[in-house]
Amino acid sequence: MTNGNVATDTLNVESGGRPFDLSATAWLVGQAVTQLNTEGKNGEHQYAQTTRLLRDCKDAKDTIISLVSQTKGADHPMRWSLLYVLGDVADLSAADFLVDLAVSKLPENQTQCCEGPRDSELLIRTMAVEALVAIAKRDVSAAGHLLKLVKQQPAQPILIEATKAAIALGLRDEVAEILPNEAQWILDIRRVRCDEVQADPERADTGERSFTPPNQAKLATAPSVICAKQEGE
Amino acid sequence: MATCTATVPNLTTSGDDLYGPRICWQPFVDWAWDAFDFDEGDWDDGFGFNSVCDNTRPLSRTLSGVWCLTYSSPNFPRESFDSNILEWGCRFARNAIDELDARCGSNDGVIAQTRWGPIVDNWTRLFLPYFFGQGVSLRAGTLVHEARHADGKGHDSGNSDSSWGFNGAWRWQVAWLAWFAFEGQSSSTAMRAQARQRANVIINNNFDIHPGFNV
Repeated sequence: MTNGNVATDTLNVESGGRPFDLSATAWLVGQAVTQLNTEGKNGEHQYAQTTRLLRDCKDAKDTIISLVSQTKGADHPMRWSLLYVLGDVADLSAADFLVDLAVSKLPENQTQCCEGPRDSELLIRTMAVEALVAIAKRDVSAAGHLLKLVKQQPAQPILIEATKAAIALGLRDEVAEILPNEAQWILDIRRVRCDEVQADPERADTGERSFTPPNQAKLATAPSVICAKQEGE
Repeated sequence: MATCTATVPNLTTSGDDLYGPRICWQPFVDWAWDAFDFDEGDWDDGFGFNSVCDNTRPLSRTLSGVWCLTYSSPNFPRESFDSNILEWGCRFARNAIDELDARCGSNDGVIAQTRWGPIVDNWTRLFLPYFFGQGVSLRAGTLVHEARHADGKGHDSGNSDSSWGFNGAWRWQVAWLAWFAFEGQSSSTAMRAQARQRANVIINNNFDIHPGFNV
């Protein structure tokens, strides 16, 4: 215990807004975001149906971009989800917005500690690149925007994402011409499955596991006493 | 002592609507409280000690990360070190982390910090951006990272690791996130996609010598 006799911190929390109440299209975007964050095949199916409906809404792209802009900086998961939906809904006209976002200025590197705001912003920009790829898969003319992005020499993680995407869309030669010599190694990055991504625990199993977690409630097969009582009432 | 204010982000997109109800289960709370050595004095005064099921509070949101770390392997309850990190990550983390504390944090947005070593008080502290700035699967990944530090392994090149072979906190975080992205159970498309992207951001940003692959 760290606090001992030393007083620790105090936190006040405030509620966020209700951004999806602004219009019927915004509500439908909210439904897509919800399904994207739902567990299981049912969520995936409903997400696909919702984005199909959104593609027929003329104001969908502008609504999503407006929601991205309105979302407060710290709500990274919301911005990320909106960009994911944008990629599945918008047409070529969203490409410039995504390129601008992907190359926008990042916070400085952390000096004190490992993870910080730059990492969260890199994730947002990575999603912007992937949204651009999703659009390019429906409209190949958007692929040129990936080359435009590479030309602007963004931060290394974004440059790598854009280069990988351009290669996947058949633009290997074009992107190789644009990349400076010192970045040509990016062309050789392999995509691997998790089997090749292992951490070495540097220890072997012993009999002692310590604090074995409880089995999940849903794994219990015995009937619940509480439910039985409610049924009998 | 600091006093801070946080605006609660959207609960759906952070994964707290999905995972929050799962942690609201007394046997899990009892277990996690001891396994990660939470203390009341570090989690009261608005951080959630008196409302453990309130997913707008840091305690619930941290327990969601612990739940994700604990139950996402398709092989649960097996936790063998002979298998992958998705299987043994929680076992390692709960044994390595000396105590898990909540704090406001500083203005520079640091997410978490661990102090380790002989003689000094060992702790892992989680700050506002951990609770309110990242989704549940990324919170689990951060616990793995900090656990590697709590085990005594720092970074060997500033805040970066020199190489994949160093087998440091960044590699461990990447490995857990990658396995979660491919095989994580009971989660959403968003949680898995964020894990995959975060793994790649780390691979492409936090090693002096790039490992030569992405996931």
